Amino acid sequence: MVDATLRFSPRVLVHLGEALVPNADQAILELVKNAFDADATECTVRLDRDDDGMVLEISDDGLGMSSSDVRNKWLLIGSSTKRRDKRTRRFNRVQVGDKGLGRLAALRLGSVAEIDTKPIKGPACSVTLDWNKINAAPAVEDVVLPIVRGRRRKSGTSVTVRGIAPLSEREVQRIGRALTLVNDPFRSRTGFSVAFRGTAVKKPVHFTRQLFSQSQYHIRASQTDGGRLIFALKGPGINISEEVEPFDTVPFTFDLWEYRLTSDDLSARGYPLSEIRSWLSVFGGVHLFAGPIRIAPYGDRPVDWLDINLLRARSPENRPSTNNSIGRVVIDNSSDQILQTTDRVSFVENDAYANLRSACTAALNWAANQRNLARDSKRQEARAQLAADPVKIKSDTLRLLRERLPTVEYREVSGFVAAAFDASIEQINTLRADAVLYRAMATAGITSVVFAHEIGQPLGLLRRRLPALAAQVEEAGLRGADLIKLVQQAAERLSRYVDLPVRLAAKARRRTGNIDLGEAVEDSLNAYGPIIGERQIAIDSVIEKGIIMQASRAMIDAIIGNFITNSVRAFDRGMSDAKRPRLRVRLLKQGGRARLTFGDNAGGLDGIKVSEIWAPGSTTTPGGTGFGLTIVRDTIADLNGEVLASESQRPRGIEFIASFPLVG
Amino acid sequence: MCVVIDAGFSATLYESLALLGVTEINALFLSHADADHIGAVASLLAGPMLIRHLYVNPDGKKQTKAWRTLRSALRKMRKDGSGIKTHSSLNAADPGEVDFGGFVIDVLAPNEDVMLGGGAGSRHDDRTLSVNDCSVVLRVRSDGRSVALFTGDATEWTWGQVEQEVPNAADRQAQILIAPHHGGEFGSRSVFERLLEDVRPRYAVISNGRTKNGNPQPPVVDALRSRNIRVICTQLGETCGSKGNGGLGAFPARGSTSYISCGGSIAFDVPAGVAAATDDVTHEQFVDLISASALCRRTVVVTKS
Amino acid sequence: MTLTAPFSKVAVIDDAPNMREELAYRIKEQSLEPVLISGPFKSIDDLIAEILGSAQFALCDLQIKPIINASGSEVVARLTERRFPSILFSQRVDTGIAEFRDILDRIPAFLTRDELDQKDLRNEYADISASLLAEAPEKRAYPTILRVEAVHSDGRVDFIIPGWSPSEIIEMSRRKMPAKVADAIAVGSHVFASVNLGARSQEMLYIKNLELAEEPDDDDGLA
Repeated sequence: MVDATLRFSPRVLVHLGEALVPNADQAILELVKNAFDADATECTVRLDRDDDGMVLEISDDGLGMSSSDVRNKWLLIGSSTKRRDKRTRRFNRVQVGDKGLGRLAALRLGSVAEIDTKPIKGPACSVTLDWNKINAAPAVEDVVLPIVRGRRRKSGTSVTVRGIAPLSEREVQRIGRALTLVNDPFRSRTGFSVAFRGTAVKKPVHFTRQLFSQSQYHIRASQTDGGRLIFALKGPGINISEEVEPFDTVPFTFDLWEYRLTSDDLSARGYPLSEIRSWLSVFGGVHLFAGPIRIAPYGDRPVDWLDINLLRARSPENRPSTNNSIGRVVIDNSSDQILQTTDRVSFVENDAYANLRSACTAALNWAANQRNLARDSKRQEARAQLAADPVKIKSDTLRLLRERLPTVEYREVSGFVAAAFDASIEQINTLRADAVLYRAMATAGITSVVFAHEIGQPLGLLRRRLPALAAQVEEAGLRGADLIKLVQQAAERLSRYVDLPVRLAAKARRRTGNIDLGEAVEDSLNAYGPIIGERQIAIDSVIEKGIIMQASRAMIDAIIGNFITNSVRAFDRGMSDAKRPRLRVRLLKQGGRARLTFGDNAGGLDGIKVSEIWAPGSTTTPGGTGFGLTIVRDTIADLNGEVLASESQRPRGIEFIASFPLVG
Repeated sequence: MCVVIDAGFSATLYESLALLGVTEINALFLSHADADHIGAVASLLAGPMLIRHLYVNPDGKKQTKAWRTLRSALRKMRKDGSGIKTHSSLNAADPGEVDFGGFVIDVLAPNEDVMLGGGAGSRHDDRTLSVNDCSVVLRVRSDGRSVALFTGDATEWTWGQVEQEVPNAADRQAQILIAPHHGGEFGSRSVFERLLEDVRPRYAVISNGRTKNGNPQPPVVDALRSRNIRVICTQLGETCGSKGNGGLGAFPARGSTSYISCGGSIAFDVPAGVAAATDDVTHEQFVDLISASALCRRTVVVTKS
Repeated sequence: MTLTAPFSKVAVIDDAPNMREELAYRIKEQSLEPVLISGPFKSIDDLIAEILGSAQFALCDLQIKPIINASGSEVVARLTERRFPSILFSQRVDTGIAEFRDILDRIPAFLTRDELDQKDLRNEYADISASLLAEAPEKRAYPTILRVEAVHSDGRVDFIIPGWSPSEIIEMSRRKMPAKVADAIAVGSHVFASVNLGARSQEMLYIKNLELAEEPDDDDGLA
C-alpha cells in the first residue's frame, strides 16, 4: 500500500486562470488591486519590450510579504484571505481585490513569472514560476519552487511577468484606462497612485490629467495666509476672477471641475462619456486635504459636505451636482483649526470649519451667478440681433434683388417681397407693443402681490378694531357713529380687493395636473364672490362635477376671472335693462367635450363689434387694458379649446361659449 | 381573530382596533384598487400592526401610482420578517372561501374566468369591464348562518356574476348588507331590487362620505325603505340635514370631530347568529330628530332623468 | 407650569410695532396683562428664557426676523417642549407651513390674526395647557407611507399621503428632511414617516421621522 494525494494536471491552471479572466487588462488590474489591498501608496505598472516579447512589472510600496506569507498565501491558488468587510491594516481601506484566481491569470500572461517581496520587518524573498516547466510536468505539485532571498531593499512587492505575447495598441490603451479608475486623482499621501509607463507604453498616457481637462467649467477659490480671497471661473465663453471679502478661516484653495454629461456634447477629443461617468462615480464630489493628506471622514466616496446637491435642487440651472463634478479643498491646517471628531466620522463644527464651508458655498454661488449673468448677456445679444431693424432688412433685401435681377423680374417680385416684409414688420411692432403692456401690467400685478402683506396687516387691524371703536363712541354718547361706519365699510371693501391678487398669484394655483373643472370653476367664482356680491350681482350656475382636465387652477382663474371682470365693468357702465344684474354660468360634459357657458345681462357691447372684442388693446372701458378677453382666448387655446362670443338679445348682454376636448 | 375588509382612513381604524384590543390583523382584504380604498391599505402595510395575510386581485391598471405605493409599503412589511403572505388572487375559485375558525369568508365575485381574462379593462361578453365591475363581493358566515355581505363598489354586472356563482337564490341571503358603492351608483333599479329580493337583509349599512358625490342616492334609500330594511348611513347625507352628530357608539367615527356623522362607526353583535346593531336605538332616536329631512324617513319622489 | 398657577401675563412676540400694540390692546381688554417682547435676541435660548421668566402664555408671530434669526414656529415648538402654552399666528396660514411641517406636532395652534382676535385667551390658555398634558387624538402619530408627486426648484416637495387623502397635495420643505432623504428624494419615490392621520385639515398635518422606502419587489406577486 502506498499513500497518494490528489494531484492536478497543469491543464487545470488553464481553466482556473486565463479561461476565467480572459482579458489582459482585467488580470493586470487584479494585481494592482492586490497592491491597493497591501496598503501601497505608489504602484507602478511597467510594460516593456524585449527579445522574448513583452515584460510586465507591477511594483508597489505596500506592506509586502514574508516567505511564509508567500508560501502559504500567495502560492496557495484559490484561497482568498481577502474579505470585503475586512479593512486594511495601515490605511483602513475597504479591500477591493478578492479573486485569488485573478492573480493566477495575470501571472500566466507570459512564460515566466517572478515575485520579489519584502515585508516591513524581515528579509526579502523571491520565487520564480517557469510556466514552460510547470506545463511540461505531469502534475503541478511535482515542480519544486525554491523560495530564495529577494533583491528588494524597501518593503513592498514586485511582480514581473516575462515572455508575454505582444499586446496590441488598443489593449495597452485599455489597460491604461482601467488603471485610471483606481488612480487617486489628487495623489494624496494616503491615497493610491498608479503610474503606467515603459517602452511599450507609447507616450506615458496621463489619463487622469486628460480627464480633468475634459471638464466644462473650473471653479476656483483661493484664500491666502494674508487674508485675500479670490474667486475664479473658467468655462465656455467665461474667464473671470474677482476678489471678495475673505472668510475667517484657515488659508485654503478650492477647485471644482464640472462636467457636461449630456450626449449631444461628444468631445472632440473623443473621450467616451461612460468612462467619465465611471470615473466621477468613483471620485466625484469634493475631497478635503490638509496639504498632501486627504482628511477622512469620507472613506472612498466623499460626503456632500458642501450641500452641492441641495444648492442644485434649489436652483438647478448653472450648478454642478456630485454626479457631474469632482473637486478638492486643500487647507493649510498648521494651526490645527480644523479638527476631526474623535470617532473620525465628521468634523468638529467650530467656526473655522463652518466658515470654510461658507467660503466654498459662496464660491459656488458666485460661479452660478456669473454663469447666469453670462447667459443673460448672451440672450440680450441674441435678442439685439433679432431686433435688428426689420425696416433696414427690407430695404437691404430689395436693394439686393434690384442689383441681381433684370428689371422686369425685379418689378414682378419686389411687390410680393415688400408686402411680406411689411406684414412681418407690423406683426413685430404689435408684439413689441403687447410686450410693453404685458410687462407694465405684470409689474402692477407683482407690486400688488408683493406688498399685499404690508397692505393686509394694517387693513386687518382696521377691520378688527373699528367695531369696538364704534361701540365705545356710542357708549360715550359722542357723535361720530355714522362716520365710523363709513370708514368701516371702506375698510371692508378694501380688504376684499387686497385678498384677491394674493390668492390668484399663489404658486399652488399654477400647478398643472388633473383637475376637476367644475370644482375649479366654482373656486374661481367664489374668489370673486365679494366683488360680485358688493354689486348685488346674482350668479345662476349649474356646474357638473367630475369633468377632469389637464390644467392648472390659474388657467381657470384666467378664464373665469376675466369673464367676470369684463361683465362687472359692463354692469358699471349702467346700460343693463334688466331688473337684477345676473351672471349665468353653465358647465357640462357633451360628447367627449366640456362645454362652458358664461353670460351676463349687462346690456351688450357698446361701440365695438363682437369679432373685435378678442384683440389685445380693444377696450371700451376708460382706463381699461383691453387684455382681459385676449388672455381668455389665449388660455382656452392653450387648452386646445375654442370659444365663441355672441350678443344675446333677451336679456341684452353677452354670452361666451367655450368648449374643450377631454381625454379618455 | 381580526379581519379587515377595505380600509377607509387609517386613524379611525387604528383607534377602533385599539379599543377592541386587537394586536394583529389576521387578514386584510382589498375589494378593488380604487385610490380611496387602497390608500389606507398601503398605510396599514406601513405598520406597526402586523398583518398576516393580504388578499388582493392584481390590478388591471397595475402601473397606477397608488398601486406602487401599496407595493412599496408591502416590501417593508415583508422585509421586517413579519411573515405576511400575499395572495394575489381573490376570486370565487381561488381562494373561494377562507376559514377563520369562528367564521368563514366566501368570495362570491368575481369569477375566476373573469380574472383570468384580465379583470378590469378586459372585454367580457361585449362589455369592457370597469374596476368597479371587478369589485370583490365577500360574504361572512358564522355557525352556518350568513351574517353580512360586503359588496365594495360592485355594479349590477358584478351582481350578475354573483347570481352565476351562487345559483340558488336562498344562498344569496345575508342579514347585513353593506350597500354597494357607498350608497351610490350601482346600475338599474330593477337589478338592485333583484339583489334586495335575494339578500333580504335586516340592515343595510351605507358607508358614505357626506361631501362625496351626494351619497346616499335617494333611489337607493327608497328601494331599501320600500322593503322595510333598516338603513344606517355612517355620515349624514347632504340632503338629510345640516348637522350630524359626533358619533353615537363606542367606536370613533371619521365624521365625529366635524359633527357630520349619522350612524358613525356601526358595531353589530351576532349572538346566536342574529345580527343586532348595538346602537340601534340611539340611531333611531337621532334620525327621529331630523325625520323631516332624513332620506330614510321621508317619501322620496324619484324623477326620471 | 401647572393649571393652578395664576394666569395673568401674556407675552407678545411680534416684530411689527402697531400689530404688537393691537394685541396688547386686545389682551388688556380681556383683563390680562400684556408683556411686549421686541428683542432683538442673539440666541433662541435667550428669547425662551425671557418668555418663561415674564409670562404664563405666549402669542408668537410666524415671521419674527428682526427679533431673532429663527422662525416663530421654532419658538413655539421649544415652548411646547417646556410645557409652556403658546399660540403661533400669521397674517395667512396657507403659506409657510411647508417650512415647519416637521415640528407641527409641537405647535398647539396656528391661527390667522383674525382668528386669534376672536379667541377668548383664558379659554385658549386652558385648552392648550390641557393638550400639553395629554395627547389629543388629532395629534397622535401613526406610521404611514408617503409618495412624492413633485420636487420644486425652491426646495418644496409635494407629497401625497394615501392614508390621509388620495388626492390632496401636502407640501414640505426639503431643508427640513434628514439629509439622506432630502438627497435621494425624486418624483415617484416613497418615504415612510410618522404622520398624525387623524388631523382634520392639512394645516395640522405633521410629518416626522422620514425614512426612504425601497421600491417595490419585482417578485411580490403583485407586479
